[in-house]
Amino acid sequence: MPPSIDLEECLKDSPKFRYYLVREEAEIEHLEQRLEKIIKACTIAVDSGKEYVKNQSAFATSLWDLQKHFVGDKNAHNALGKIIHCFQEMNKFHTILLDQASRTVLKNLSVFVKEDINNVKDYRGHFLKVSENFDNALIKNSQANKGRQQEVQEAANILSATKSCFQHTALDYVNYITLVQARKVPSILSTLLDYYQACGTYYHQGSDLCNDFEDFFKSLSEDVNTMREDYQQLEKTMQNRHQSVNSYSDTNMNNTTNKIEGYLFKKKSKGFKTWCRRWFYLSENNQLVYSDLTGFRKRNNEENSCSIMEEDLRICTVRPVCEGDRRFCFEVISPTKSHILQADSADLLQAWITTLQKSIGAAIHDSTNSRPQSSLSSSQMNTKRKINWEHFLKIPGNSKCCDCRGSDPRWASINIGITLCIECSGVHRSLGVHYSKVRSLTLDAWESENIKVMMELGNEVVNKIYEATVPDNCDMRPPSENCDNSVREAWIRAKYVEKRFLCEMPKPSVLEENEPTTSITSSLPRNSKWGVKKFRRRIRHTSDDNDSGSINIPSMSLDLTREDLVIVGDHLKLETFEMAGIISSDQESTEGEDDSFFEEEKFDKLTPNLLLYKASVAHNLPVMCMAFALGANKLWRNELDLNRTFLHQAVLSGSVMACEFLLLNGVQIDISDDNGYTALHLATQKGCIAQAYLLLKHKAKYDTVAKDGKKPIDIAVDQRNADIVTLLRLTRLNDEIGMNDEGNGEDELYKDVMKDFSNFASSQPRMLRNRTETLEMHSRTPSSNSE
Amino acid sequence: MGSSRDDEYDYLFKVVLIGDSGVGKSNLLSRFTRNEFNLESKSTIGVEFATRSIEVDGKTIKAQIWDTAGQERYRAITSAYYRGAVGALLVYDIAKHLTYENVERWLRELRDHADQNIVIMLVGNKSDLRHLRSVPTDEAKSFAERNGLSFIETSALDSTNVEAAFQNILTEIFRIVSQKQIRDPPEGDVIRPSNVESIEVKPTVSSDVRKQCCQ
Repeated sequence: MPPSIDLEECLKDSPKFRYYLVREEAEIEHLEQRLEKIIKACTIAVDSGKEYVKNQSAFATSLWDLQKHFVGDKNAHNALGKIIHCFQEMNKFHTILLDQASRTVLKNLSVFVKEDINNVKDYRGHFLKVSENFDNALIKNSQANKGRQQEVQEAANILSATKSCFQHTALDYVNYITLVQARKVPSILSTLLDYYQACGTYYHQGSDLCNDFEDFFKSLSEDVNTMREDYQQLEKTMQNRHQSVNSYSDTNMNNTTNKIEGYLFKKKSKGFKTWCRRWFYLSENNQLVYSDLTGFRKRNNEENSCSIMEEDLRICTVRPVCEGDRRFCFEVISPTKSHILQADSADLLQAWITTLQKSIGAAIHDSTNSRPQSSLSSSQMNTKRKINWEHFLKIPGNSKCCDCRGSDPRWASINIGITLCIECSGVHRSLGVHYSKVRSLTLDAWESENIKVMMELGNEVVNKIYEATVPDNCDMRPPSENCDNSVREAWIRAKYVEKRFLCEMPKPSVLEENEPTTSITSSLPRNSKWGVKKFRRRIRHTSDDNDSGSINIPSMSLDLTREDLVIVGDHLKLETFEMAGIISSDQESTEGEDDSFFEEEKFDKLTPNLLLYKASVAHNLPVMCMAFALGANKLWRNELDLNRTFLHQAVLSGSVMACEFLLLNGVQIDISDDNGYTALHLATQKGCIAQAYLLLKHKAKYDTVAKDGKKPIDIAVDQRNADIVTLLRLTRLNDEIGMNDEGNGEDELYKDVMKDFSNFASSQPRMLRNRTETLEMHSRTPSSNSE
Repeated sequence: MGSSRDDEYDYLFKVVLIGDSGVGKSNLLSRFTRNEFNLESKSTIGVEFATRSIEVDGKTIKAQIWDTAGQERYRAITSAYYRGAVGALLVYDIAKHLTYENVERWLRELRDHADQNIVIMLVGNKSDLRHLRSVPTDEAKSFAERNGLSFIETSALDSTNVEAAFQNILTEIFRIVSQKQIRDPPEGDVIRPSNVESIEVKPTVSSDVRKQCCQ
């Protein structure tokens, strides 16, 4: 490109030159404006591009989150992963492009504007200054006075210097302008070319990427098509489902299996007796479980939201409930609780009841058929019952069935106080409850008083009574573990009903050999006497007593052997037995335990009835058991002692277990003595809350009027025994409610409150007894006796 | 006096009467159930019961009232008193400041032994003893408000507000129970239907009941 202005014109500083300068300057200024506009636009483009990339990467991140959602679905997970990868690659390319744009366009053009064009301006300023100096020099030179040679000379010198300077400067300026003008096109074009190449690379990379993934996306789109078809088919089937709504009913449950689940209304047993809707189901191990939540609202985790209503169905019964306002109700009853549930319809009610009954049947069947496994299932039961079950077997003789000596007995007869295998327990059950009351060691819940009775007796003691005289050449074969059922049955009948092997009536020891054929009442050489010692096998822990030395001595100690005295029950070889753990505390409301005194009786008066009478007041259960076996009459009364019954005596003994043993064996509870006092009167008079509770639990009459005109409640009030007053009044109230409620039986609240008393009485009887006295010492304050 | 037959009812509520010895619990009960008053009554031993039925919203509510011993040595085991109770009338004597001071201790016992939803009403009895008053009404009222209790002053002697006291507490219990029955929210779950107000029984209902029964 030729320079657009002559050197000559420049040196001459001609108007043409000046015009040229003006034109060029204007053009450069114009260019500058355009370039600045480009830079500005490009900056905006790059910035918004960066913004775009940023958002794009946020988009990719959100896709990552989506991918996590599909963790379960491997295909979707992979496909998403690849797609996200593509997006991220593209984003990367875009970033590079933007980088290039800012590097090429922005940087180059800015440099051009800032350096080249600004330099032009600098040159221009310089040029204008020099040009002015030159003008001044010209003017000075023209004004120089001819006459003053020196002045002329000086002006001429300055002029020539400035002119030379001006010419050089002008030349530089022109040169620079020319060069800038010459450079602008290539540098702009090369910049844009770079940018174009960057764009090209960008698209090229994208295209490569697409090529790489072409196969994948093709197969993906095929997959999507298949999915779409599947979806359409699904849609059709889903629509068809509506038709089945009409044919489906809640009762459409599979009745062949023992599974059922669904919503039921549950009546709360305590406090506000409200109904709430819960999801119930039967668990694998025969537990009736319900979810605490009304719907699918989750708490922290699902497992914790379930409550076990009944943990072992085998001890439950189910029956429909007709009382009450609500329809479709049924009741699940276990030994300790009862739950009222309501189904949504009559059909559902039926389904629940039949299924539950079936499951109960099946569960019992399973547990009896698979005996080896039962230890496994018993480990799942609650620990308290398990302790009981193991401890029962530690009582002497109890580790083998009382009748057939089979190992691992799981049943018990609570009124005889023995353990039994399942086969023998079946025979016992067939004898009827007046002979034997059968309970399961593992399945039933045990009341503390029954445990106490069990612990006093046991197979060893009982067989010394019922199998004392099995002849060597017995016509009857004793049963063995696997014997025929008829053998078993015959033996058990002979043993407990016919009493063929029963021990003999105690006799004066001296005469034993001389007169083998009884007739005790005949000539007695000496005035022989007999007696029953107080006995309790469980060791009484009396850490709070200092004078307890004699208490722990086995009751059948030998220090009392006298020739003329027979201690009945001595041959049973009773020993005290450490039984901690089975009953929370060994405290019992027995008084005068340490007093070993007992009345001696003459042998001519020895009858089973009197023996039981004396054994009752001594709360000596083995002897009581023996007396029953020897034929004590349950209705007998002692004419010589106010016509009192065994139960009166047991109450006077202060022992709960003696009362319970008598009641288990069918004595009358409401008989009055000559004073008109019933057992409950006596218990009240003695202030024995545990016994009063026991009697009330066995439905003793509480309003019998004695000869002095007093009912038990009057005695309790006179004695200011708050606990017994409460027990008596509460029982009466419960009966009143029960009568009004069409015999709805015992109120839950009543049961719970009574249980409080029972627990309190059996765990801290002494505290109950002494509370009145100790409280006297405190001043009158609101009750703060929170135990 | 009883407004309906005794043997038919829609709801049975156990309500306990507690408070210091001698504040008049037994007389409040006999005034309410038998319209009797005995100036010479003896200390209660253990517990005494009485029942009476009232009508609320067309429903028959049978109140089973447990009048407990105030004197500690005559009290049976504590848990028996509070088990299953849905209401408690905590009584003090407006003429004996000590009985009012002990209210806090009774509240503590309620918290320890009773259902947490139990409805508690603070009752200042013997309001007829105006000249002997030692507990100002306002003081007791603000104490009741602070502790979320209802409050009423009664006189078993001249019958003032006795009916109202029992009416109010039984109505409160009824409101809670009938509202709960609509849909029992799962325990511990915070999500509640928006149209059901949380259980907060405040004088809104009791005020118009008072009008009804004090005419």
